[in-house]
Amino acid sequence: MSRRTRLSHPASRALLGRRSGERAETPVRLARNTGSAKPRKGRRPSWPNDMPKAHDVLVAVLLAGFAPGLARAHEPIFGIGPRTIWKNGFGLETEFEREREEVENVWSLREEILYGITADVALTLEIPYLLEKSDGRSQASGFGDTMLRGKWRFYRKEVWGGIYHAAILGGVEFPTGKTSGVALGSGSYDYFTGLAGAYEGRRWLNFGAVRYRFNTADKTGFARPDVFLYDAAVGFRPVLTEYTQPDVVLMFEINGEVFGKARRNGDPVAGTGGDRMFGSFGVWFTYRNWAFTPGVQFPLVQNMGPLRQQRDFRAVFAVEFHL
Amino acid sequence: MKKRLTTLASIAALAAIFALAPAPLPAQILEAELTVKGLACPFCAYGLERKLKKLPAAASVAITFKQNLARVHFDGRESPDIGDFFRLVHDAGFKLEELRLLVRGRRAEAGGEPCLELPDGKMLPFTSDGVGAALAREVPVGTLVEARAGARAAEEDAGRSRSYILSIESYQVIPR
Repeated sequence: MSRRTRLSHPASRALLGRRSGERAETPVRLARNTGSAKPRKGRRPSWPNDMPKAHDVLVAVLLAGFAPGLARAHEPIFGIGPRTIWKNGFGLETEFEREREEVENVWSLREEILYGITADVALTLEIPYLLEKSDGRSQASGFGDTMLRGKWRFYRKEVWGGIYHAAILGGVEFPTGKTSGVALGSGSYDYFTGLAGAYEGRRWLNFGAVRYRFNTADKTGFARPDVFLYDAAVGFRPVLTEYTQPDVVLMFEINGEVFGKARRNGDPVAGTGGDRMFGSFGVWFTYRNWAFTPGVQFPLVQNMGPLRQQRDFRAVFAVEFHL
Repeated sequence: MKKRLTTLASIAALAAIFALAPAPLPAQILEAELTVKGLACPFCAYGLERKLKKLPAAASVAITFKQNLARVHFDGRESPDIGDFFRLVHDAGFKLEELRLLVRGRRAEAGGEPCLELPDGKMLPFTSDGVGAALAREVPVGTLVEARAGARAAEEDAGRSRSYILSIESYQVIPR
């Protein structure tokens, strides 16, 4: 992958779903304001006047590792599906994630509590914790913005050995992470909505989803870019095991992100926006009410403009328990 | 002599214990076989197991993907309502396509309809056609019967409450 020298700030990442792109583009310019769009390698750029200030950058940095996921229960690893949980059922998930974007390394942990209000309506509370984020200049760790999200599975048609279903997704992210110093939260209320559908059979599983994230402005008037995300995933179960046996499903995914412009006081910020697409591979290991889901994601296409780092890879390992 | 008295006392005590112990269950739902649509993955089917274990007197639940089946064995005097099976499977995120029961109950009549009466007083009406007709005609009221039957919704009241009726597939009279 080509490594353009960009800012090490993943600033304003709109996290729409931890699993598929979710991070909004960094509205930070890395290059010196010399008229050249290409910054010099190895040099720390200064901030041009028309770009967000250091505060914005910090806000962005804090968000780096926090890409909230959606209520999940046997879903694509980087995308999202319509699956909920049974009525009054609880799910607990711990997800460990590592992501690298050029010089930036992020290690994060997410704790999720999933609750089934009915078999078709589920709520998830997600509490992210950034273990370490290093961009070569500074490090941050601590709690990020808490997210509450939900699914309404409005369509479900059961067939022999499978199910067709679809769900509407929605959620809000609260500015619970600190924004002073090395910020760990966005400082703004952000919202998202989406639609997911799937056919899940014994041998093959197909998923598709679209999501849109609306990012509002923080107290300084800076708003991260809105993000449109799309996901397609295919799962294959090589061995048809029985209920009391361990189950393995191989997952192949395409995850895309289309970013709008960041805004300052309502005005678009130049140099922001773009799109990128990733290919992902993961495995579901499940045994009764335990699930272990490792996965890795690599970029296929990245057209993010001069202000954004290229993502090298993202890897997750999640453990989920239903009770 | 003393030894003989001790032995007799022991026997009397044991007899008293057995006399006070609950009598064997005269009737109940013994087993339920649920044919379920939507069974695709073990992780999701765990919710079905959880739900079915909440049925009164459920002793064990076994799920078989190959046959799309969930079998529940019961061990107790209390019996679930037929509607509970349908409700719990729906709440687990699946669809109960077919329910078959192994029932031990007394032949009874309720509102002029032939029924099986369970020990907790529940009445399970059955259709008076086919094997059910033979059961209604040939087995006197009050007789203990073990029957294998399918269960289906009999009627629906404004879409809210349903009653269920059994379709007897086979039966045998339990000797007293």
